[in-house]
Amino acid sequence: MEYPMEHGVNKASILPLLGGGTPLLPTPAAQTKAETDWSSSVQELGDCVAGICSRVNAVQTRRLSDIEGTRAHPELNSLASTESTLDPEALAIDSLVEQTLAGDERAFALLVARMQPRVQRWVQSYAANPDEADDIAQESFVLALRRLRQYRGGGSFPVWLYRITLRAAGRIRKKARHREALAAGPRAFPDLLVYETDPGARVDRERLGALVREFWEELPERQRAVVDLVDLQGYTPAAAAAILEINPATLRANLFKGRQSLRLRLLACYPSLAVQNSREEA
Amino acid sequence: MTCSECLESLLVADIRLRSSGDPSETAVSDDASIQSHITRCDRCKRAVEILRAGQDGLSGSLFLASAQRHSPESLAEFAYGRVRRERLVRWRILPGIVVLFALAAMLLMILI
Repeated sequence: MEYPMEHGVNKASILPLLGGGTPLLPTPAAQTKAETDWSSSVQELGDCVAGICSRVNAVQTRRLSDIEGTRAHPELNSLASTESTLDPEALAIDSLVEQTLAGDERAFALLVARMQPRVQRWVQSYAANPDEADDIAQESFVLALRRLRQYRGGGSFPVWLYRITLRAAGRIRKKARHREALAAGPRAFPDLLVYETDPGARVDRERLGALVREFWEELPERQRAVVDLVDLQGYTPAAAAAILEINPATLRANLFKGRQSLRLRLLACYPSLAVQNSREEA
Repeated sequence: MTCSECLESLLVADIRLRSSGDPSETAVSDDASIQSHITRCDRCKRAVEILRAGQDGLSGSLFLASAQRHSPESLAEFAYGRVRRERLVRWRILPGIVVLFALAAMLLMILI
């Protein structure tokens, strides 16, 4: 009988240990019965070992997938699979990654050309000024090139690169913090006067945008990133939580705090609306 | 729903960007009671317009700020250059120094 080899355990190898095939009873009838019983018990034992092996396999596979984060973020998986099945651009990006890994420098330049606008947009949440934004973008591509072998494909390259950008931003901010401490000067106070003509008009909107940006830049980094991903870039809260690798409840708390802080300050510029006063009265 | 309750809810409500799609869609999503209040109350409607305009303005401002100052080619070249230098140090120069030290030590032992 052929037994499969699983995890180095051949079920046939346990037969001699159990005395398989050795006649235990002297009479032929009893011997036949004993052999039948024996072979059935060995068969059961073999099935039991097979079951254990398959369970060990399943547990190992589950642990591996846990480690790789595939089960930790089902939302991210669906995001990645959606991108890979629906978006031909994601497939093109994956092919550029493969070519870069094969040593094609031109493919990496094409990859940078595709991803640079997104990275430049993402770094706005983390950079204190345009120069720092450029530094973070450069560092992101250096880190991405260095760790490109760790990318596992599947069309989720933008999500992977977002996390790389997050790490690059952390590094650059850490370096910049020392310089900021030395070079800290008085910050210009934002002009709180807003023309109350038509908030939808272009000039008012630009002025309003600059004002809201001042408020936005004063938010804590986490709140800034969450508000940017959900309110401005249109990710669902669950997808944003998966990208930032934080708990969805934490994300919602940060989102609400960020929104509240921004909107209270914005509405405070319009005395006729006076949310602050109405809150105090309540 | 009173105006103060509506304004309280608006502080955390989902407000859609103007550019997100169809112009006929409502600015505030999810909450039907907010939407019905906004259709009746001019003050709260104005507050929604201001919040939406602020969000649109912030989005536009960040988009303008993210204008590229470096070409993709120069960025890729910079990244390649740095990674190549790091690899050179890690795989050639550092092992070379170790081998030289080992040779020097052996030579010293032989001479002594």
